Amino acid sequence: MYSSTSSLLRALLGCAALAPASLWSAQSTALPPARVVPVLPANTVPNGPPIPTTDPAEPAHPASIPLWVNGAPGFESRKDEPEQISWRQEIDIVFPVLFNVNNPTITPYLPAKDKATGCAVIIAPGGGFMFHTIGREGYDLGQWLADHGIAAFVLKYRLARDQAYPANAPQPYQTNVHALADAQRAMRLVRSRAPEWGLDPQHIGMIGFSAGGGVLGELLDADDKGNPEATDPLDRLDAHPNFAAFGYSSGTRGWATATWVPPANMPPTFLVCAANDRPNISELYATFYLDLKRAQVPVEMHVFGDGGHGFGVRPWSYSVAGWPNLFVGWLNDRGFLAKAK
Amino acid sequence: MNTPPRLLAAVTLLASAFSLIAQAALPPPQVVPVAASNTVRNGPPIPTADPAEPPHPASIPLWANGAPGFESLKDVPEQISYRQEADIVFPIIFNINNPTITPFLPAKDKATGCAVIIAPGGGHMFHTIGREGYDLGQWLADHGIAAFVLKYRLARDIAVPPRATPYRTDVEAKLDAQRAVRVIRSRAAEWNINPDHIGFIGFSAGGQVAAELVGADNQGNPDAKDPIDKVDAHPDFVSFTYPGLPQSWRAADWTPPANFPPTFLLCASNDSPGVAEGLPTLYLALKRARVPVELMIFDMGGHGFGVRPWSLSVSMWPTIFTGWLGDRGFLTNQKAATP
Repeated sequence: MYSSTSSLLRALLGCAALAPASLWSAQSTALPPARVVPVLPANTVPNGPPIPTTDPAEPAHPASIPLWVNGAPGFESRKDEPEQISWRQEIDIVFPVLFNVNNPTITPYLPAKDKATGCAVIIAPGGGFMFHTIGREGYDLGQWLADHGIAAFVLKYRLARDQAYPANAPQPYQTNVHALADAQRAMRLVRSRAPEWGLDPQHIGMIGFSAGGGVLGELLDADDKGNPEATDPLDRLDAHPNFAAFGYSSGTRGWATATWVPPANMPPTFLVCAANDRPNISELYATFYLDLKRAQVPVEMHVFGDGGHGFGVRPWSYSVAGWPNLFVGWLNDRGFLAKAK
Repeated sequence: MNTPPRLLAAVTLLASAFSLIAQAALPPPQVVPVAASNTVRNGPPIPTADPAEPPHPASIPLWANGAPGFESLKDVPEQISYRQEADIVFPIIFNINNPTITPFLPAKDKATGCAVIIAPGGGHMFHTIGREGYDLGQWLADHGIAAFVLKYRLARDIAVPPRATPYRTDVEAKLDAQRAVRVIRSRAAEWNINPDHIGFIGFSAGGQVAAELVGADNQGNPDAKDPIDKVDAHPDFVSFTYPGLPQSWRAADWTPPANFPPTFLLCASNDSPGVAEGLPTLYLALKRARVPVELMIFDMGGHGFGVRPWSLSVSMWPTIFTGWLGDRGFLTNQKAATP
């Protein structure tokens, strides 16, 4: 049975390699590199660690795949605009941030075939809808998950407060419209290529950090099953994730209040944050968990004593650095790491 | 065959040392038949072999002459039997009249100076001595932490008919918990323990004992005759694992008692609502009172997982617990970080 699965995979991979369809050609279209821009005053703090004099650069990563071959619907003219990259300084860390996202993409981290579990996680980084914390809330987790047999796709969704625009300037994108559309499209794109990437199409979830959790909340509220009449075959697919994980985020507007009722079809949910984060996360999480539990949504919650906001995956002495193991353990408990029958 | 004199001397010395230990040794628990209340339908088979405590270091009575007021019961043996649950059969200990701690000490080169008193669960009816006791004790010692399994007295001890037990959780079990902290703190130097890094973890009913301890007036009595009772009994950290909490703690307006130590909360979300919904509420009350707190709720694990070899990820919790102890500064031989 295993060998027949792999021959099926080979066959599908062969098809993909031969297919001249526009969908696949997207992969070969290299995107322009991010353009380095000066550090904004908003991205500095007094007494932070020194900002390097070298240009910020994205960590090495697999080629990103645009969600739409011709650019985002209605914004096709901006598809070749380069992203921007700069440094951000916080109290104990300096890191590269990406913004000016007009052509949303996923960056795939695929596990070695002998390790692959068939599970996939789309990663929505945080950054206050102003930028993407692309390292510790993106690529670094993508690589870690791939090393643990889980396919990961870092989603650069469009930003409702993109720093590429001057403060208070009108913004072209909204979270509940454009970032939502990007999350849905990412789910559909990954699901559509599940055979090629060796994924179980019903084991595809999303994790959102901070602002990225807001995007995930919008995705779950929308609960879009696909449009069977859509001209683009991808848009016919179900965009609903099979599991959801929130890193220091309590979803989107109206969520996790005492009266909130989770959306229909809320999938099994994993929550992680630190108790010394701000109260609208560290205290709201207790309500978030209780709302889910009372709605009989399977839920796991870890509130670490120390870790603050934005820990992501970072080499750290704090025990919160062990959270990815808990996440993978939970995926295993829930059966998401078992190959489909 | 001639025995070399030196070896003979060593053997003699060993034998006398052994007799010293043996003198203080408590009578072994008496095996009793499995009570009907300790069986379930369709559980795993109950072994025909007698239940036995896993091998463990010698237990130390909390009071040399027996518990105050119950000195005459100090030589009554504990009882041991099996308990069968839906997916597991395990030995349980009861008939506790001479409360003890069983010490699991780390190798000196690994010792962190931290100590944990372990109060097993068992509904105040018995002690789940393996996975909520000795097994964790050994695991902690292997990780540089001194552990002491506390056999506290049971308010519903199944050795006696219902309501016939002389012991109460908020009196005798609490006293046992306080005495355990005092004994360990008084012997801290001997056991390489930092007297300010002594904590208490309670499972289920043991969590209620932990709550009684934390809520008690734990100051030592400077006028006490017994020097041990002069020592402070307040724990430096506390952990509640799927605890049974006192009724008063569940009230919406409950505020933590003064000097509430840093707290680690752990359960599974598929436990009963009193636990699985009670712990997030406790977390909020502690957090709002600025008590440092960590809350771990695993999706699956049910009630009573303890430390058991299991495919479920909840079996990772001891690593999370020691990680938290590290974060809070309890694993360095220095004063704990101030919150």
